[in-house]
Amino acid sequence: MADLTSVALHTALDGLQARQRAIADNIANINTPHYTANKVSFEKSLARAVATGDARAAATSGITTAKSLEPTREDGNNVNLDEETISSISTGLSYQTALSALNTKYSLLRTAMGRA
Amino acid sequence: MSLFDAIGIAGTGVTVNRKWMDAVSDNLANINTVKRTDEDAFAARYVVATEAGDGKGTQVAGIVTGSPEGRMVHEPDHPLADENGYVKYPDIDMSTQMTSLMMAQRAYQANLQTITSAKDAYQAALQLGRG
Amino acid sequence: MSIESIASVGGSLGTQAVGWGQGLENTDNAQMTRGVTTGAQAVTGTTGIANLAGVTGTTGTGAVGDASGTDFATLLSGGLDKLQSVQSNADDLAVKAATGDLTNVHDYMIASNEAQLTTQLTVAIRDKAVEAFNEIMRMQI
Repeated sequence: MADLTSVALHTALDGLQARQRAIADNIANINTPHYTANKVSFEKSLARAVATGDARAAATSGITTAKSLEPTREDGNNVNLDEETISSISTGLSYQTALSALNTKYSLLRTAMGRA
Repeated sequence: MSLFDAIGIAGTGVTVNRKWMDAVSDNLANINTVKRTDEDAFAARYVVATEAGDGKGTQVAGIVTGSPEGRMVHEPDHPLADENGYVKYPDIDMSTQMTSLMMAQRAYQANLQTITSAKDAYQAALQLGRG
Repeated sequence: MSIESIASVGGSLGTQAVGWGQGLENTDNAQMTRGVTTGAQAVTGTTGIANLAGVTGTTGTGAVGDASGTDFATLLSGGLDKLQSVQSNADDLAVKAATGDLTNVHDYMIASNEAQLTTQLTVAIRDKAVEAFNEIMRMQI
């Protein structure tokens, strides 16, 4: 399925999974001294790729990981537990939405082909 | 937090209440910190919360410290006692701090409940049309 | 036998009948044949029937649509256009959900359900139309 919507959703799923992994990593390291939290971002580059209308650009739009700029505590750790928890919930919900969207696309094709 | 604003807003509430609980626990931990009479007593910390504007929740505007006067207590056997046998205790009232702690905890739980409800509502929306 | 000849047949029938009946003037049969003769002569009135020209085809009934205002082809193509727009609306909202720009998830869910139901409806209509066509083709003339 090479149309723009399916490709964009696939890239979004990749990005969201990378974010979930980074969040789990951050929460596991909440007490590690001098640990800086990692933040994954992919939405802006995906939006730019989608605006061009090219499916290949959407497929290869990157997923970048950057260090968080939060202030550090005394032990040099800058993981903000509340923010990570909220982000984890929000990422999980976005993942479910993107999966549901991809599911809808496939079921439309199946209906048109004449199968349930 | 464009997917479901309620989650982000409740998140700010969670952060502010957690900071409040941190400040209260710091005050309670230092409630018996003794200083000499010529030094400042341990000053209680108060978190000032303000609205974040535009319906975006709350934020911590700043931390205010209480009075450094403290109260003089007569303890001649204390190693830090001055020539009259007085030492300085912080001017922190335990019952007030415990009440603040309970309020902060309840507010924290309420905000967490908001997040849970928002998450459930979102998931119900994802089920629209199934079954 | 063209229709004009009916007149002449009637005439000749009458003549024949009279011929046969000559020997039996006063019998009942003779009476009857005499009646037939006069009746047959009366038939000569048939010369009045003009030649039935070739039956000209009627102009045919107008398109069925003229009676109700829309016709089936218009309905079908309108339905396909609507399906196209509903599907592309659902696609746009799905891309917005992927890039994180979607403010209301229920907007997307409603659009996607609409697209699914419209697709199922269109496919059902197509299936029924094909079935009806096959049914008609199978009819014996």
